[in-house]
Amino acid sequence: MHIVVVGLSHQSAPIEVREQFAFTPGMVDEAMALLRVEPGLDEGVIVSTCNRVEIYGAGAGAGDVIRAIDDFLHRFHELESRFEKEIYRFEEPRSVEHLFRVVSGLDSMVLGETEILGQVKKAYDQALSSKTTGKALNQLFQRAFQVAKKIRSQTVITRGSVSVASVAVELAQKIFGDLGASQVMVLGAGDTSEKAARALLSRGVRSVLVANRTYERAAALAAELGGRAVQFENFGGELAGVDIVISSIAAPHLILTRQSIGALMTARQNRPLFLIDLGVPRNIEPAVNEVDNVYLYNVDDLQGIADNNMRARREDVARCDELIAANVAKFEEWLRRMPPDAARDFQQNRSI
Amino acid sequence: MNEHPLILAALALYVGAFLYALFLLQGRPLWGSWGHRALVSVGWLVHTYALYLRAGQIHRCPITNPFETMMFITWALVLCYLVFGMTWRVSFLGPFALPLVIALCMFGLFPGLDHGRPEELKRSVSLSMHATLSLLAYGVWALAGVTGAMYLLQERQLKTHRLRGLFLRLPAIEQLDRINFRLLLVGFVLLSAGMALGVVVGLEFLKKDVLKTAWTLLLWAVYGGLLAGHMTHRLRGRKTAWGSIAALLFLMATFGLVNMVSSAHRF
Repeated sequence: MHIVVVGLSHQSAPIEVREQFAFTPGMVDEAMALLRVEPGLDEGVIVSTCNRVEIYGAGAGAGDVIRAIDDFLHRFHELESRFEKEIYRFEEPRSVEHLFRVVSGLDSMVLGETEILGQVKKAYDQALSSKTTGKALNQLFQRAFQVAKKIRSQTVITRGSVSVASVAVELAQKIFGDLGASQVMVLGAGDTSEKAARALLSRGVRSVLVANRTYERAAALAAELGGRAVQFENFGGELAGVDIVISSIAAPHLILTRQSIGALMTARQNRPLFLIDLGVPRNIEPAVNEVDNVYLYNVDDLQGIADNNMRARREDVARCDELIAANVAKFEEWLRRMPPDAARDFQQNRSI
Repeated sequence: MNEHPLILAALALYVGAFLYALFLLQGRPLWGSWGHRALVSVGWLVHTYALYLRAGQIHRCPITNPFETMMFITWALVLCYLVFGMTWRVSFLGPFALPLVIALCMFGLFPGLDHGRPEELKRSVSLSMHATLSLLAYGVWALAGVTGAMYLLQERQLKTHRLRGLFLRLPAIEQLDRINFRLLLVGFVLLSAGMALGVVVGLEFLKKDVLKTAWTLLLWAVYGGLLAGHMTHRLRGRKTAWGSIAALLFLMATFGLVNMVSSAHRF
């Protein structure tokens, strides 16, 4: 029994090519049904995400399986031209290693991201319910999920946030814990502020207030975020009830000073206040960070943390590779010992 | 004394749990680790059995000399660690609380501390309750001091923007502040109850043992002040954390000395 993978990802093909091969959720059932009857292919799993389209297959001859999947991909998407350079075709042990790397986030656009694990699990579950998997792929995917778990717990590859918005969320969670009671104020309608506000909303913050020099822009962003717009002149009056401030006002002077925050903290009964200053020039006086229970981060601080986390992840790639190599070897050993009639059994089951 | 080997066994288990906690720093959350919890729990059960044997031997609560008192306080500390750690889901308490437990256990095992007890000690349920509740309060406050240290460590990382490995492992500072307050409150209620029973048991001791009475009242006032400061929002976060550490250091530094010169609390 041989296991192969045929596919294309963000590393091998631009989006214009990837989108031609993508399987939308509505297409997967039909594709699975066709895959089941593909000659030369005993087992198959389709993984289709924004960044990759891959079909894992198992069969008696590696070359036959690769050809079957390759033809199936082009035929299903009605593509006449062949994408030889963009499509990768791996046989064992590289195909096995590739899946282990994919589920561990090592092959992702953002190194170590964990969303891919859920996406592959979903793809495998779909294949399982469509009965396109057998002993080989079942074992391969189960092992892949175990490897991902091991890598997650034994290395730092998935730890720490690696974008400005997610670092802001992580910090907010380390200050407030549960964000369900927290209120966010967005000062200025910048792109990064909006991303940070959205990221905080996705973690369950209670509400969002938006203030901007142009009230209409504030109202528009507030409507998008499901929050409330406030007049820019009045934002100071709302601060006492706010826990997180994201500021990106284009102003030549400071809008929050140590003095104003000192007075505010008394009104806030010394509840913690998280200030995110994304403005250039800065909107908040740096000395504000010296006030008890106030935590001030500017864009460089957040980017620095994201970069450090990414550096730590990159430094751990070698350790991940070692773990993967050891697990690939174990799987290969298992595959070698697999009875030759296992695939036939599966084919018989499939025909029932 | 037959209980010493059992206490040593409990100590060995606590040391093992601490080392295992350090090892787990690289991996999953501590409360996700059954191994760590099992080591602490088994250590605590052995500890409990040792105290039970001693209580059977002396026919009263085993807090009649420095060794017994230290073992009782550490027993209370581990109990609080297990109960509150699980109830409030505070991961990572082990690497901070266990060193204190281990140090206090080792101190209690110093030769000469497990000496005879004052003959005049009465056997009374109220007296035992008075002492037990007071010592339980000290155990709870020790854990508050540990939580305070955790708060300061996490707060320093957030203030300086230097987020090290511990950052992800420690709870949120608001959570630590809440836990610190709750522990201060539980300890305060326990000591208040212990003091009330002390008045019931023997008002005459209050007059005879002025130093111990004054010391206890001072301690009660210090912790009461910390609680009042937190409830009125004047002391919050860092200030409460420093307060609980300072109060614990005061408690640890003066507890033995006051008992040495005390006329009615010589243990």
